Amino acid sequence: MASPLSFPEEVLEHIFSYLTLPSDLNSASLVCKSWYSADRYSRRKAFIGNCYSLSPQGLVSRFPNLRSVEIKGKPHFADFNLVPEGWGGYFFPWVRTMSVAYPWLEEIRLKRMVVSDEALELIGRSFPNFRVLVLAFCDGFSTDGLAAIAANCRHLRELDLRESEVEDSSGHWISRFPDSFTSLVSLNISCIASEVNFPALERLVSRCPNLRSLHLNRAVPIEHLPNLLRRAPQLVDFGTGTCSSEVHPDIYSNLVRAFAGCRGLRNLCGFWDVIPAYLPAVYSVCFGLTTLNLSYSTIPSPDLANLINQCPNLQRLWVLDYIEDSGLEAVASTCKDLQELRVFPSAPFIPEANVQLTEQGLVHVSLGCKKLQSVLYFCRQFSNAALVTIAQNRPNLTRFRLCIIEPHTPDYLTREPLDMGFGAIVQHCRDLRRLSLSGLLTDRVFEYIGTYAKKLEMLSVAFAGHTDAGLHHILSGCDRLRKLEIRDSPFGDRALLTNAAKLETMRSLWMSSCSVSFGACKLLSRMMPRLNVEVIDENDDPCSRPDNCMVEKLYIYRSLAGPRFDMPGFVWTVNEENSTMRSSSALPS
Amino acid sequence: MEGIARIGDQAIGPKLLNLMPNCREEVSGQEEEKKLELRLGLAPPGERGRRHHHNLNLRGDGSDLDRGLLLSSARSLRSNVQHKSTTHFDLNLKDVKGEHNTTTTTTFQKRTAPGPVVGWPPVRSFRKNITANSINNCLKRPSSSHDAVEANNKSLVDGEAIDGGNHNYQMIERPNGSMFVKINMEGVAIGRKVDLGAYDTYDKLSSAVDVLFRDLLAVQRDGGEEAITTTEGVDGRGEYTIVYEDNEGDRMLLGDVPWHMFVSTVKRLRVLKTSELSSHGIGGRQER
Repeated sequence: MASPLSFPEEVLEHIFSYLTLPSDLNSASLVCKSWYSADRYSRRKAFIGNCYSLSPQGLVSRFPNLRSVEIKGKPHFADFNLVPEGWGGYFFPWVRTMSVAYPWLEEIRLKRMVVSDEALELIGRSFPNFRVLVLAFCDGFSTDGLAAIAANCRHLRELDLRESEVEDSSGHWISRFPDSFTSLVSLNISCIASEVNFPALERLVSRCPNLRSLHLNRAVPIEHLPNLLRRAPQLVDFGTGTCSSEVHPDIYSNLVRAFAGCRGLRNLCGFWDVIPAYLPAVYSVCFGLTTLNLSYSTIPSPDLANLINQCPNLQRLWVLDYIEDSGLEAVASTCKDLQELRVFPSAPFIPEANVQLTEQGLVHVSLGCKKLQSVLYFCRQFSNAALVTIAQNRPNLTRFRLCIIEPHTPDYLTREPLDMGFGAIVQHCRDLRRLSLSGLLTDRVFEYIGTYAKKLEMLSVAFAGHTDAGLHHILSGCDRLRKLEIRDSPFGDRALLTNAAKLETMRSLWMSSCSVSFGACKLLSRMMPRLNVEVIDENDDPCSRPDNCMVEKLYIYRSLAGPRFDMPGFVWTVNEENSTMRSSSALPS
Repeated sequence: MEGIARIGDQAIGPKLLNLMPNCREEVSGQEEEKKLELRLGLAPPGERGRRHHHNLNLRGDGSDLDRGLLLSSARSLRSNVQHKSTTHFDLNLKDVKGEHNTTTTTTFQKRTAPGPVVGWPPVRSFRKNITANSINNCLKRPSSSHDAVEANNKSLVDGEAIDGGNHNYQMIERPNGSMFVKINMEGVAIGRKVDLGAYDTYDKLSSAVDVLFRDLLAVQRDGGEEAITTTEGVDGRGEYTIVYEDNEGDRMLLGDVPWHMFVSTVKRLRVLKTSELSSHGIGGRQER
């Protein structure tokens, strides 16, 4: 019996193609069988936040017609060397399956995955319509793999290697783009250490009229820039190479002219080793800049302030702490549209401050920049008073990451924990989605977070808390929590087991140097069969120790695929017979 | 965050108990069950007692909620970590150390003193070496109110190695971009200093060194002997070869690495007789 409301599938699929949010499509697919089917066949994009949450076969059978895939691998703390080499996150099983199932695949975006040259070669061979490759914080490949992409992907638009680790075989992979190749829109090779064949790069830039984004690597000297920019005046986003050579008047004036020709430039980055005398060369584009990343530049504060004063339309600013409080005051008065500020440490491993950067800088920016939403701030001192002020000034904050460099640092004025300050942050900033804590903190801060941080999706905790109550507050209070990562905090079995069900509503939980026992891991695994509970221990076999011994590192995530089979020798997971299982360390690619 | 949190039914309770080892806590037998009951409730601000007020004169809009949040000084907090009030997580877990701390060191520390910690502060590896590799690095800040120069010098000379990364910062003041390193020549008693900031290629450096030591050798051999022809060069074909020592103590031939990398890692230069290079452990085995 045909309902008057039932459309042919093609019509449904066409309607669904206007729904862009995965959450909307997910909702639509739950309405009835025909909508589920229409969505299933018309879905074009998939985002997989944890590569082990389902298998490649699972993906291709659920969505047979994808054009764009985004996958994330290792846990975030892998960025800071907490995840041992060989842990996993291999891309090859995915590309092997997709090469058969998705011949029309156009886009692959990966983050923190291990990508081999073989995988890159398979991409080049399998997807004739391939357009976008983004490898963020990935490793495992060399310039040979890049050569395969360059040579075979005739319609490539984006090649973005942001912050990946690339083994350098030679700089000639750039020459592998055929002369007939003209479709490039975005190229980011800033992470490549060695020199790239510059003439080949110049020719590539010349013949790609749609090139909008170009990030050079450090090895490109500043003398090459004017000619390059002259060939690509349509650039919107540009990353320089190194700017350290002596300032010759000729080069300088060439540079000035070249930048002046790039009227559409909105984002600038690079500036490795830049000598301050070069900075005025970019003044002509500063008015239009919306993004400025100077986080590789050790420019002292006065020069930074001079540059920033030319950029009233800045929305995103990344700098080193050389900017100092005085420079941030300049930001606060000039950059009224600022939405995101990141201040990185220039000397993170020395105990004393080498720059005059304190909480005052951030307080000024919080007062002057009314659109500020996202903060990442490294410094050496903070106070509850400053945190409260920032919270009251900027209730529109959505991301707040404060890193006080020395662990357990109290409020420098009162010597008290910073519970109250962070409490004010979560209380006032009701839309806060991401929070990183630091400094001296007791269980109290977690009570505040559990009470007020109802929209929080990601929380990073280090050297904080006193008892399991802290973890319990987080898990029982933060309704929208998806990712939780904890290190060096005394949270243990009780809070974890009490909130076991919560873990299935989250993407993942990381705990290292905490107080979780091996026995609790086994019990949790028995209680929650749809969680993968993985214990990482590089020193020992946890089975050889009594159950009440603490595990070194713990990674828990929900999964439809069951325990994974590519675990290295130092990762244990618990199988159903209550004994431990350790997979062989055979790598899939 | 509503009140009671339990797993399933009470059958879980005893199992949890059995798991809990003795090594971390002392839970008195009779009260075990009661203590396992998790009760969580955040008391209205008033209940915490105004005496815990702390005099933080902030923007002072004086709302009750604000005041409630700003309550509880650390002192009372620390002494009440194992709060007996109903407003707290009602488990009688003791601190890991078994005592409350009133000092700034918290209960959970694997090291007794601040020291190198893996992965902390959380900066990615490519950020760690930015200032170490920059020739514009000027770690002393004239405007700094902390007189950190002495402290900086001292701590960097000690050169803590953390994370196995490259942490031997060059603690040489470079107010004008100049960068002086010592240079010694074999056979010359007195060393010199050369300003690497004045050059940007190996050729320029090499000729400058050539000039410098030719004069020195001439002075040293005063009297009848001829000046030695010092055809130095980075290719080691001359009579003398320039080598350098990097921050890891290795001896390297000049010209092996790109200039900017050389500048960031070099500690001192040496001019050696080419014929004796292999005895110094370099050169002979290297293929160029």
